[in-house]
Amino acid sequence: MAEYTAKRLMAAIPTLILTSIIVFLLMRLLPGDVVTAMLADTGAVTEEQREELRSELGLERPYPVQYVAWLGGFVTGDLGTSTYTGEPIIESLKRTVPVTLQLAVVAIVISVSVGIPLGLVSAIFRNSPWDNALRAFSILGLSAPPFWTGTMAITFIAIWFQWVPPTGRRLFFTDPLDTLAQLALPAALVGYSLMAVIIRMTRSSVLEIMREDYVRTARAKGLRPTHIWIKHVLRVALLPVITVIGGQVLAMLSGTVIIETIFGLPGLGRLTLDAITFRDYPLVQSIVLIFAVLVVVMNMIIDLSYAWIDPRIRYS
Amino acid sequence: MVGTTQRTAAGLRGRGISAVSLRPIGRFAKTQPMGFACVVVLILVVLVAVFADVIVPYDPLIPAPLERLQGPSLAHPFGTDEIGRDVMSRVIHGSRVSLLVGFTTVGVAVGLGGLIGLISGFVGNWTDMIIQRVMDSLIAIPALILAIAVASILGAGTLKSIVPIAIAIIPINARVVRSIVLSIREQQYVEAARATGCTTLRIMARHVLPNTLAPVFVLASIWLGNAIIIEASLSFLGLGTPPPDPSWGNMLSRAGRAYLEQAPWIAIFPGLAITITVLAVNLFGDAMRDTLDPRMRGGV
Repeated sequence: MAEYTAKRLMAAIPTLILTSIIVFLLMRLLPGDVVTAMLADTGAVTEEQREELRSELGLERPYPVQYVAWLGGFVTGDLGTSTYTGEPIIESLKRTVPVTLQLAVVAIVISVSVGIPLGLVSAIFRNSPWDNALRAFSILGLSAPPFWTGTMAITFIAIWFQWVPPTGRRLFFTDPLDTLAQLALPAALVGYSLMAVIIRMTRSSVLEIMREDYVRTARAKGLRPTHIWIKHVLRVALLPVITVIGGQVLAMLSGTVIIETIFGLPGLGRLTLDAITFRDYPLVQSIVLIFAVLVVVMNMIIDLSYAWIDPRIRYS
Repeated sequence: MVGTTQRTAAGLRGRGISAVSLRPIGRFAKTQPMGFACVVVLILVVLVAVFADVIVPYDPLIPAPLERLQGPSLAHPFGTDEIGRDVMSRVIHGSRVSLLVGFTTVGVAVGLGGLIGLISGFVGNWTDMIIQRVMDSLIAIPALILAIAVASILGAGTLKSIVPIAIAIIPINARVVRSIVLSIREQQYVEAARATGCTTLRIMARHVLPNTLAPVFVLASIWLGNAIIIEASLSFLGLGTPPPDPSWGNMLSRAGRAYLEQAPWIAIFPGLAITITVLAVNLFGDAMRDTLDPRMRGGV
């Protein structure tokens, strides 16, 4: 396992370096000049002011020099300074990442703890009204845009129950009850699409496994149905579900941009949008790379957990 | 399967084209009633978008201050917005943006992604390794974040929003097509074609490409739904279609939300339009997958 872990770690490094190059080039090679975009709202700008900003951002240097400086800073934790707030970028991230992480954790807990049992129920009672209702519920979760469900939920809950989730920066370790009250609704909404995927995947995976010979043998031996479902079917059926959960968690992380905006949560998603609104490119660039690092790390964790569950993978 | 269809078509040629062209549709309607209903819904949405100028009851751009924030009525079935524009007319016109961006993006992404996947999977070796590493790196950036970053540089605009969404979809599509090509490459008929002296280009075009089309078509339906949601999300964030032109996403942005408690219909109807369209696309994709992959029938 240690050898496999080392191999996966080594494979992640080139991906991360290439991703950083792509992020760096994307911000520079696309049509549209960063300096022009940043100065778009400031009215008449002289050529001198443009040059000043260009040299302040270090854009007059050759690309390889800029890249090495940026990546070097990223590795050592010096991400530069936000052009809008003047705050060091690392400080902005320290403030916002915990908010997004706790939103993601609550969303994952809700979606996994509800989604897997519902997927199993859907498969056991295949083609029954329960199954049809659950399938409708899950496909709706994939079709309704989160910014709409979020907007509707916050409005109608405020109108009907006269309750609005608390806003501002709250952390679970210092203020657990208020934090949970603040996160319940946005986490349920963020988790809905993840839950939809989990229900669908668990259902199809369980139905596939049910056709296996060893399940028939277990049934023929006279084992209790609950024992067969939990021990023989669900355990094996969860392997592809884990892979899907990993991929979806990443989609969910980017979905926080929208949900944090609607619910006024001061997290990484909200920071991304602010950075774009105020054309704070150094910040945008760092956030995109942070997301990419999260994705690569998450993929690695999925691969490792997969290898841990299924020994055939690490020995192949 | 292609051969059978050709033989059937040849046999029925004397009995008129309609018998040939309608039979698979009838079979699809019978075996996949839900999928067929979704096709009907999608055709209706497309017709609404194409004939938007003819069927809208009011001009979607001209304000009517005296009629602002009116609830749904016979005159305005979806109500009016904060400056008196008819919400139904704006939802009808907004369908153009969603469908235009959705179909164009999927066309570009599936075409380019498919081509990259085909080359990567079939040529193999260093070409495959380099292409896959670049694709891996692009996949590492979440689709919406990548789309937002690109859109922020390109600026807001309906056609401009096609680029970021396509860039986000291409690598995932390329990877899927590559995995399909890798399994096709090992088939005996490809080996036979190579043994008879076919060139690589010919094998790719005549033997490999046609066999990737069915799964790619199913994938395209999934991407269409995603592209519509990403476009709406970009417009919602102010990075897609700029106001006053209506799009389902921008109708829900600032103004839509500011008057939400007073006039919820401004936000309800565009959201419903997105949900119904994407739902129809997703259910159609499910039905197509069930039809093309019998193992999965009734599976998901």
